[in-house]
Amino acid sequence: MSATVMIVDDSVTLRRLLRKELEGSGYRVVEAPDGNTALQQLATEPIQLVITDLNMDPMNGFELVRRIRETRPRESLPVLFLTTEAGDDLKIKGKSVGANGWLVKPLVPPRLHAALTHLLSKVSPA
Amino acid sequence: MIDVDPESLAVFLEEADELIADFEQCLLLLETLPDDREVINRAFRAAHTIKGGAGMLALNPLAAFTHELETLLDELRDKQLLCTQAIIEAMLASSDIIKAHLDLIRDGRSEKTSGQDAVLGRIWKVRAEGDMPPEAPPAPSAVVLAPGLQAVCVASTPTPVFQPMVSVTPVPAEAPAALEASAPAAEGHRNEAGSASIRVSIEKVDQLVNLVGELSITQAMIGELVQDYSPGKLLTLQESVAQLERHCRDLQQRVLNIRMVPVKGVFERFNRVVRDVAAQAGKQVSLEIHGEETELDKTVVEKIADPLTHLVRNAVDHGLEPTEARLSAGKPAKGLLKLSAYQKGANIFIEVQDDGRGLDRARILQKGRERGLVPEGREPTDDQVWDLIFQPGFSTAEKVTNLSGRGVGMDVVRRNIDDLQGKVSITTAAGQGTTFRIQLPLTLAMMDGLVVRVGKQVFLLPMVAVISSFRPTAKQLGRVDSTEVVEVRGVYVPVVRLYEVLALKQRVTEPTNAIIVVIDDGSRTFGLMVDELMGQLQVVVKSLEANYGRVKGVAGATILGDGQVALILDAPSLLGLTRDRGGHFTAAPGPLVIPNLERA
Repeated sequence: MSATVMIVDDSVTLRRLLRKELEGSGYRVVEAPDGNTALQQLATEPIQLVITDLNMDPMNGFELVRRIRETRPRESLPVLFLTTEAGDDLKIKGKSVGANGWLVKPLVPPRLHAALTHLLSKVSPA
Repeated sequence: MIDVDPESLAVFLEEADELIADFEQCLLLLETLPDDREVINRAFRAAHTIKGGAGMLALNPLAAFTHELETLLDELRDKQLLCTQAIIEAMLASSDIIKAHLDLIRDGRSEKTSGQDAVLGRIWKVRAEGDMPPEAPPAPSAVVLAPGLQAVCVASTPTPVFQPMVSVTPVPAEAPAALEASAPAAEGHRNEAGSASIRVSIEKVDQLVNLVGELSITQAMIGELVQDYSPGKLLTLQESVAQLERHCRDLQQRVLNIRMVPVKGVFERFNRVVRDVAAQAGKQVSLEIHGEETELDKTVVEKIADPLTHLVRNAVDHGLEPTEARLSAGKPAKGLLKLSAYQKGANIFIEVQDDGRGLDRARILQKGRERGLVPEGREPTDDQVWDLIFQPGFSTAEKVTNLSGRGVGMDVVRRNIDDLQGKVSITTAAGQGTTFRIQLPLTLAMMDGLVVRVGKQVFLLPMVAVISSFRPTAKQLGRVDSTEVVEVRGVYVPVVRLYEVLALKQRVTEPTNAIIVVIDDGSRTFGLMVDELMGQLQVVVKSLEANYGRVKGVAGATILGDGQVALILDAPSLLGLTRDRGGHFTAAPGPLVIPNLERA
């Protein structure tokens, strides 16, 4: 059984790159160009993990995670931020809204896969 | 100097290596998942276990240092703090310090390492920062580095949970010497664990990069020539292609060279093996190692370890006589075991030589007759007798010892070496000792082959086994008993007609119209009759076994320049096939089936 990962990012290029990497490792991928679409898809599709950009319009990454956490706790749906920088202050903010972790660009595939494998191994199959 | 039981120390070092690797894995995960409790827990357990082991063995400096790291992880865990970049970096630095400690301990020293205090300072600093609420500005570094704080922390350094073992059980005087022997053994094991990767010097890589550069330049040249070709440019084109060939061959060699590692890693472990087996067998043995820097393909090095271990154990247990027997035979009490490696041509030889009693020809032959391996009334040659010990279930040991004598083993040794496309031969002299010589190809991936044709089929013969080739005259041909022979430089050798062995439609049946390729595998020589020679090629060996299972007489396959598939023949074994068919000495095998590649 392969897990489904949702990529939330306004950049088509990034979504395509990440999709290729994830599908290459056997994940199913769902894309959303913005936070609202992401929330809609979460309500209808069986998604096990979310990777989201931070700077998006109209809803930024922090806001998206906050909204996700209203219905889905950290343990049932891990969320990773994907950003160019992850200073400690951003990490602390991320933690406070309920993100599970940070992927820092440029993406290092082994690191991505290690994190995904680890997080998904803890998610109980719904 | 460390005064503890060397066995426990070796176990600890091995475990610590694994733990520290896992610890670093956790740190990498924490960079992405900075507050994942499970990962922090795993890191904590790794540090905790290292500390515990170090404490048990009274490796106090390491125990004290790891305690600080453990405390940091404990705080992260209990206070659910976020692993900031600074914390991760401090822990990575700690991991380096622990590794430095482990290296020192391997050298027999247990002391503080250089740089340790600086890292401790960093640990205390991040711990002090962690006590602040997350939103507060970072603590000024001056506070943390104040000497007072440092003094407090040093005072909190724990004493080991257990007293040193020395005080409980006095360690025998030879312990330090034994430690030396056990440390390389532990290291050897570690190398084995990391077998999936190879360390390559930057220099080798740079040479490759350079060569690839050359290759693309030549390729571009050829591309240009072809695009705008006129007959007048033929010479330039030929030159460029020749250059391309040179670069390709060079690149091949260098890439293969990357796979080459010294046999040292395997040889080193035998210090330990010999010591243990000698102690169990109650014998005195000194081990001499020669040529440990000889390089061999990494896969081969890994796979040769098991058969070699078997040969070494056998040599100590069976080959060398008990001390009294040696003394009464006028030999030194201490048996000598020599392990050597050297390169000759495209082959590597590994020898296990003992100065023991030698193989007992009469007893082996008797056993062979009992088992029906040698028909009554037939006098086999020495080599054929020695060959018997490689038969499954064959053992002449009078009693089964813990170490050897169950008759399992030598056939496995032979099979392992066969798998590596190697050969094993024996020289032995009663009362003087036995030498097992293993011949191995330098690499399994490539080989030089002689291309020959029989009927419509093209085959490759490994160049290493080929001595010469010629078209025989009628005068050179003859028969000895029922065997067809050919004269090669004054000596008659048996002729093997390849089309007969492989049941092929031949074109040439008259030897004077055919070509005889003289094959020598180091112990036997024979002439292989083929229709014609087609040339010499360096080829990549493809395994057939995935699709066809193992085919006797066939070593693999390759794809020729024109796309045709050619079988690579295991030339020396072809002689065995004819002998088997004649129903002579060795047991007859099942029918030989060659996959039909003509349609492929």
